[in-house]
Amino acid sequence: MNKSIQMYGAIVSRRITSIRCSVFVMLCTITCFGQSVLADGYAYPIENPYAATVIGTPAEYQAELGKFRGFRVLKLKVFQDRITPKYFWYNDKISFGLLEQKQKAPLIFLIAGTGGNYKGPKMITLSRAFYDEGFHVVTLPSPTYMSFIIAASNSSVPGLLDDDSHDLYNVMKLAWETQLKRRIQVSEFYVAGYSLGGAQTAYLAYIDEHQKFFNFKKALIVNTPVSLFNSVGKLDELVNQNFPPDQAGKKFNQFWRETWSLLAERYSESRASELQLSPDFLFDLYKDQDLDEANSQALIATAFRISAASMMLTADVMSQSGFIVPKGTTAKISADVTDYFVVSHRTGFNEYARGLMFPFYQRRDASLTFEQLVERSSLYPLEDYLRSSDKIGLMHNADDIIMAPGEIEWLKDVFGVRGKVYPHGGHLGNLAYKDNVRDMLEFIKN
Amino acid sequence: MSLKKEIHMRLFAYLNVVFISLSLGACATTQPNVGDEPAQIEISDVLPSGDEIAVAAFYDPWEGYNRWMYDFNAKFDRYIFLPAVNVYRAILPEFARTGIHNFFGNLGEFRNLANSVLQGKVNQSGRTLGRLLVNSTLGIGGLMDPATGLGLYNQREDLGQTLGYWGMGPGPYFVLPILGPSTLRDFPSSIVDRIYHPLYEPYPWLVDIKSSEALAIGVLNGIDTRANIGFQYYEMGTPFEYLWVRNLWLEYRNLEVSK
Repeated sequence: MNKSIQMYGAIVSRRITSIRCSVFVMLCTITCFGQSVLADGYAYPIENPYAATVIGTPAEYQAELGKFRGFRVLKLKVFQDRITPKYFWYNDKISFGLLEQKQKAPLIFLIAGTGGNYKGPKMITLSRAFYDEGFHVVTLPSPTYMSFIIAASNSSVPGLLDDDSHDLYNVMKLAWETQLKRRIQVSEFYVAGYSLGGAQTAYLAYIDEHQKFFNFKKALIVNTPVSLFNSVGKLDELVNQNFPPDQAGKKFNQFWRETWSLLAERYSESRASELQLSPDFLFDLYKDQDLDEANSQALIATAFRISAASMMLTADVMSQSGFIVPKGTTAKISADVTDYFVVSHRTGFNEYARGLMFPFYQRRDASLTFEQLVERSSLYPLEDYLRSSDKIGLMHNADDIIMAPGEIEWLKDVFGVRGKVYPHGGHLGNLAYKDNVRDMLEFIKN
Repeated sequence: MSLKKEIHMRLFAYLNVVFISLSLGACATTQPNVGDEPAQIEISDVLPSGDEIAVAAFYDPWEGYNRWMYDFNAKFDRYIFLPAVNVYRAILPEFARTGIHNFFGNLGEFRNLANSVLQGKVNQSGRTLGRLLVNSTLGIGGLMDPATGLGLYNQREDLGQTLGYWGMGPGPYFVLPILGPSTLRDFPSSIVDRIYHPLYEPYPWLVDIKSSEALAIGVLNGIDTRANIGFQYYEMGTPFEYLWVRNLWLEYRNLEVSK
């Protein structure tokens, strides 16, 4: 009796707190961001798509998720007979992450976006959400990530969605057979991915229909490009706008200096002993207008160029294409490779596609045209499958900065009721927002 | 042998390692052994005359040695340091590791306090002193950290920062064996900080310590430090990690100096 009164008391007081909290949040939302609430009922707070992409979701808007205690890191040697170049000795295996449940549970594979590792912040957000819901979570690096190109890519030349997704599927099978199977008990399999990993998720689902190794129950695609060439083209454009090629270095150094002096200023004001580039920190900058659209654009352009440069250079060396590094070049670990650094950071994806990717795949299949290559780097070949398969869902943003005109409409048309397009959020800015996490889990679980 | 002498000998041995590896590691930067056919895109194609090179513009005259040592450190980390950290995590529960971390952190407050005073930062010195007193008493000899909750938060200061505060530049970038990125200003400063570290001075409560115990404490200190650094070598996913780490490290130190 006593116990039940206590419990009742606890529930009531929790209710009151939560009501108080939600009133408080509502007040904040209405006062700061009234417009967006009234306009569409979707209260993710950042309307500017570039700022949203950089900042992500401020803490008070994030879904409440359990504490993250780190992935169990597993390593996989994919090709037994592949010799890793000495300069890349640390990439002889790929690493992937595991969060395991104690009991039998469904497993979800998560695929990272362009240049992404298995343990980036977006991977952690998704992992926490699914782990809390009782899933085993396995996180995989993007096929455009350096160690994947070296240790797990069949061609070592990433960019073709079907090829790259076959590499991923192969890694998933191998990971299951050699390591996961004996560690965890799995009831059924799922797959999800964001950005480029989203497009690969679509291909993985398709591959799985034929190979039937996992028999994925559901596949979720988040902020996917429709055409890789269009999306990367938009990002390259962003680079060229913010760092014009004739003075890219000067502009970059200027931007870099400004960013660091801004950080120094903020750092000296803050009491934190360690500088954390958390969403909250960036959101504060944004609210104080230190982080304007130009800064956001430059940051996105920089981050993109760094991943693209790493991918190009690694693909070039591994395939011995002589694109940036002359064929047959060797380097001691102490060698100065700054020239290659400069060239790879100043080379666009289109040049990579025409100078390395296309000749490489043409050597494999002489009849391949450039248009076919572009097509095979898009979701268009899967259109019929995506239209008809009930297991595939989509989440996207109407203002995503990587989308060309008409692509969001195409996705809406193809996915129909299985597609959810939020009015704003930029590229993945709203991934941790509570409505998004709720919708994501709802789709996977029902 | 007194503890102090032992410490001096160990420091001397470490310095020897540094200088031997400096001379062995071929100070001069080598160039890649370039293939016969030129590449499709060369630096002259993309770098307009008069433009700057981004990021690479840091003073690094010992780049050859530094790159070599960076790679050595990555190997040491992978095969010795991180396995030791994993054993440490496996045998000690979290609260014990936190206690150890707090303990070493509390000893570090002597360094923070001294350098805060040397920079004439009155409020910060007061906070650091308060922090040291609260954590040494209420926090049971530094095992717990009640001070942070009282607003007496940790503010790292070291002699390198003090010298920077009084206008000394960082000098050449310098990758140390095992310890990693540093500069010609920061490395000697860290030795001075070490010599005046309370563990290495015969303070009354540590006066009976034996040299083997001092070594064990030193190793524990090292493992605790490593366990609390999130960085892992060669996980940035770029073939140019050396350049990015150099850049970020030097910027970060500037930031700490300006704070």
